[in-house]
Amino acid sequence: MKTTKGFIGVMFILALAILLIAPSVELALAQESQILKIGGFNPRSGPAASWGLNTDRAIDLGADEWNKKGGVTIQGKKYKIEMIHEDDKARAEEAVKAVNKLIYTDKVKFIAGPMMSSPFLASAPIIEATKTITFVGCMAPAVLKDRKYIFRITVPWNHAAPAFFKYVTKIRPNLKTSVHISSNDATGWSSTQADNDSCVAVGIKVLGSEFYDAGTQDFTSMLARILPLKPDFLSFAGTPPNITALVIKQARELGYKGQFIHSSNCSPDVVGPIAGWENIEGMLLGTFTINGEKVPATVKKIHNDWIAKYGQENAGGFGDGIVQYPLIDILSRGVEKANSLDPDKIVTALENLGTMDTVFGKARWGGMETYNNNHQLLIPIWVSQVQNKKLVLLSLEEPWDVPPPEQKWR
Amino acid sequence: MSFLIFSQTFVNALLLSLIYVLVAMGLTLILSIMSMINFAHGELYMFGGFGVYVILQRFGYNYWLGVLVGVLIAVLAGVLLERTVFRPLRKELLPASFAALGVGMILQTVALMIFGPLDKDVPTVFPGVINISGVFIPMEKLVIVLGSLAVIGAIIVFVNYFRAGQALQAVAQDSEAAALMGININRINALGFGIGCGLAAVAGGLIAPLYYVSPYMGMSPLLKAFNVIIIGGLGSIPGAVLGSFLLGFIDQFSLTYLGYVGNIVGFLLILLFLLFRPRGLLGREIQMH
Repeated sequence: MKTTKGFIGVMFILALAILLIAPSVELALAQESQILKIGGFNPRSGPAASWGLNTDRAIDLGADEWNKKGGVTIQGKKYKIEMIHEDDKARAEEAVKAVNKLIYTDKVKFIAGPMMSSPFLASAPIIEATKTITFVGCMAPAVLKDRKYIFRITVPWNHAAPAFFKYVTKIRPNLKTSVHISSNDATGWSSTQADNDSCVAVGIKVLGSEFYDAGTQDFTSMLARILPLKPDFLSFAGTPPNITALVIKQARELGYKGQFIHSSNCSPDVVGPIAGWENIEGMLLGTFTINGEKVPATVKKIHNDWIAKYGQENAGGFGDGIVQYPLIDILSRGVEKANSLDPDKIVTALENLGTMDTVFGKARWGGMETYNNNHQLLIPIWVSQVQNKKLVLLSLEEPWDVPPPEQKWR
Repeated sequence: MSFLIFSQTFVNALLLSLIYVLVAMGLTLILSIMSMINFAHGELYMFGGFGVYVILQRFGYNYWLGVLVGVLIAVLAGVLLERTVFRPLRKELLPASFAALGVGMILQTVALMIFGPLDKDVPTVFPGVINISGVFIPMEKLVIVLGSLAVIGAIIVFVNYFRAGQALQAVAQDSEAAALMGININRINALGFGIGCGLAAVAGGLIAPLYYVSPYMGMSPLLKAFNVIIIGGLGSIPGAVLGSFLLGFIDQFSLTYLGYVGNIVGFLLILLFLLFRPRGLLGREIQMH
């Protein structure tokens, strides 16, 4: 009898406990289901850390905008975006480790922002096999070729440079000849290819291409060979700002009077102090800025939001990382359009977004002829000019969907 | 036109060689007296660069004061490191060299924490270019030439005509015999290590306005310095000077006339030395344990 009473008592307490705990468990489950986890991996330590950190910060800023609106809506439910960033140290094995953690431990359905081609390419097979929709910023053509779940948010050189140099011929018709200087590695070769092909496509004669090895700081021997060719300008796409600055400084010291062009992102705030601001006055760059009448108001807002959130200006220049700001916005629109978390439905929805209004202007997907998919974002590229120690936007140009034909430059 | 390119290349090679001398001399001095490869040499070179950056760029004081501050800090750091880390590992080539590698990493990380990863600009201190019939010599490089010559001269005078310098030579040749002759080995080692570190900082300070300053700035000069002492000979100061000129001229001429392919010429030379004359031009055998 005593045992029965005791049993009933225990059961009563258990039932009461379940009644009390159940709603909170249900609430917790509900809360968990309303989180949309997006992973990312970039160098967050080591020499490339500033690029990776700034890219991650720009993506976080984009996520904040959607979270302020309540999040992403799927089948009537609001999902808050939660970013999980991993450090790949710019190394392939670390990138693979990061992707495995993000997909299998953190259970992310999306990856945002990888910007280094080599680490990303090592992880791409896992991403494709697990149908993890990924938006990348890295430039190598192989990143996008024949991919189903990978999209590129940044405009690579072969699409951007022809539009950039077409505009250059309009505003500086006297620039007829060039020599391209870049690093002796995959980045340098592809930027040389794109810049030189583009110059030829718009009628600029390429007099030569020069490659330097990593760690080089003295370019006088290279310049001794270049300067007798008397190029109208030296072009630097793909060359880091500190190296660009040293070449400019040494070229001027050796009596070069021509102009300098860097058709990719390169902060004049790094170049100017090293090269001498007087040496880069009038330099043309494919770099973001907040100066100039043509800068969209949305971009100025991003700049203000950046300072409000991170307390200071982007140390590597405004363009460093900010290019990936529209990523979360475009991805979220695709998810909402699919109204599902099924990767195949989201891919179809993303591909059919049509012309999109973004913070940097109108954008659309392209690249079918080059990559066998329409996963390359064609978003306006920036042509800016150094004026009185400031970078001023001259024009926003639409990139070419089909890059110019390739020639041999090495 | 080709004579003009040759002349410009000759001048460039001369300037580059003297930069190599500055960096390699301290490294070879430490190698000769301590029988260790100072892998932290690049970070001590960085001290000179940041000395100039902080004093000149941050505080707006005189450039030479910046060089002096960088050198003093490097010398003090060198003496301290010799006493605490390297003295217990004296004549132990591998442990001491690996300890130096660790010290270098620590110094680089500390610099990263203080100054951040971005390159720091140092304003042009000696503006202007001398144009001799189409051959250009930047004033900044001319100052490096004069600075290098002064430092080389001072070291040669010190080593040959001062008691402490002669004691350095004696320790480098045979430390046990030197000790038997009454030379305080510990003091001379600390002096030699300090001077070696100071030389690295002089190089960093003189070169800072030419390039830029960063926690990673020592990597490339360190590699060149190794190449120089392989060619010039382990532990030989005249060998370091000779090796610097040989490598400087080969680097500059091969890069000018062969393009980026020219980079391999210097390495081929090093390979030939390692195979057929591992002691280098003027080197001696280093006692290893």
